[in-house]
Amino acid sequence: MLRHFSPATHEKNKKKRFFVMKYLNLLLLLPFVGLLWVPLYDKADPALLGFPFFYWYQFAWVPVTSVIIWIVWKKGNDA
Amino acid sequence: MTEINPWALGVFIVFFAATIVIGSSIQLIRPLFRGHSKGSDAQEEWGLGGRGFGPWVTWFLVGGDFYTAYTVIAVPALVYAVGAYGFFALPYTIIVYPFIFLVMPKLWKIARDGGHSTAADIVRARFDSRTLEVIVALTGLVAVMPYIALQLIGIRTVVQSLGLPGDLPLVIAFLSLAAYTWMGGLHAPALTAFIKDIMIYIAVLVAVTVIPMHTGGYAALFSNVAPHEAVLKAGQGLPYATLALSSALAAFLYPHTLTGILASRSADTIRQNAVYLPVYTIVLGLIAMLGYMAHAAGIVTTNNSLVVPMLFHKVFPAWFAGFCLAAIAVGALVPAAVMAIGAANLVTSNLLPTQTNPVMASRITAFAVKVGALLCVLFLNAKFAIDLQLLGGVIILQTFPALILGLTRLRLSTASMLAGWVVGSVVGLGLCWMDGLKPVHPVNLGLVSGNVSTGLLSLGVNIAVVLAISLLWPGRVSAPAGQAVSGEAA
Repeated sequence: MLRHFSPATHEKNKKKRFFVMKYLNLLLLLPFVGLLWVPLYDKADPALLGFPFFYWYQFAWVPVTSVIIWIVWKKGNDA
Repeated sequence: MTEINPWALGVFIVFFAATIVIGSSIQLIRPLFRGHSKGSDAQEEWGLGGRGFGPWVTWFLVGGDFYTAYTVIAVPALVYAVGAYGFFALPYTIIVYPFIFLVMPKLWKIARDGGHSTAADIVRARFDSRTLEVIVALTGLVAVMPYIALQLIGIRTVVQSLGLPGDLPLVIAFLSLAAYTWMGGLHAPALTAFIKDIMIYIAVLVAVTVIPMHTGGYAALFSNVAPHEAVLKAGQGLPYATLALSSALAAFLYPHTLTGILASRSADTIRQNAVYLPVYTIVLGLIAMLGYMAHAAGIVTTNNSLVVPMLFHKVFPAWFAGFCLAAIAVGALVPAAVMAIGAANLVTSNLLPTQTNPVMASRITAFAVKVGALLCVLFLNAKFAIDLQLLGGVIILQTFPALILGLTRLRLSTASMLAGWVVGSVVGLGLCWMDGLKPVHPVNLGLVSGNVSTGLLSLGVNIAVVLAISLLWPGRVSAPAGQAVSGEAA
């Protein structure tokens, strides 16, 4: 993919990409923090559409996690 | 419950039989669509679908094989029985995806480059140790057997709820599963996973919209349970989190889930699926809600696994109840077939000497594995299969260091892996045994005290042993893994 760059640019890009990827990968820790720290969401209020906080908070993490993974995947590849 | 409703039974039989027939004849149908063979050998074709499954097939296959029918029955049953605590399946099936995204493309690459089809193959190549290979293979085999038994129990549960008595339903379930895997290999569950998922989605979406309409909406669902019961009880937070974490770490060490991953076409197929597979988690969360709906609909039973079938029979017309139960039964067939194939791959490529006809050996092994599961269900009881599955979850976690830490550039030695596995397994199984086969163990470390997942504890001990021994006597850096890592960065 990067073959047309001079070796120096290539090296620079590679380094930059490595940092971006490393930084982006940290985003993948967010679902672990948000879901494994149970006291954060172990409560009934505020309820949403009849769902206590405990449930809709966890449901909300599903699309959020998908989006995070998508960002890391796409940006990790493009940068 | 005991009288047979012809409509429910009829619809059930039509859908169940159609799936079996389609799955079994897949090898006859396939050439009509794909005129040519891709030239991968027959064993790879039977056991890994020729490593050619694209994003869609992988999505259906891994989804269909990870979210098993037993889940559809057991998760609502748990929520019905214990309330919010049963929801730990939700965080578990969310945090598993960042893990898959980071780790599985690397494993896939190593497996493709080395022509590996099982976890044990990968470990043998990394550590150059036949002993470790055999240990990993046996661990996988022992862990997956009770899982297959649970799927058969799932089928038995729904068939019994249709009014058919005795062991006959189980034998029928077994024969259908056997025919289906024997003929189709991994292509059979890959194709029928479409059918399974569409059926499950229809059943679940209708259930979660129609049932609350009967019972007064979602708010009523939770106002029926006392406010303190809608959230976790005191002391349940720690086991909730640690069970979610240990389940997530264990989930893709199993032969069946790994088979689904390794059968995909490319590393990017896996990454893409890490983004889109969580859709199933939403469905799983909704399925878990069925446990509360059963309370709202006034279902009273002491046999928790009957909660979902009873709920369907109660609120749906007979024909649609039959359809939903068929969805669950087909949903058991898909994972059970992948499990048997994963187990067969382990036996033929890691335990037996090289075969002249590996496909036949795999077929026979897959059959034998299912006979084992059947005997387990027929002659021991369901409780035994559930306990065994718990222990299987503990020991499959002990292969985590060899398979996953082996991907890092740490200088881990073979001896440390063997020692870690032995110590971790002994500690894990020992604690389970002492606690009366419970998945959690009380821990008191001053700051942290409460129940912690036994699997996670034993994995911690295992990793500590591995690191300690590797620090004293470092092993070699894995060349293939190292190349794959630098290849990734370039």
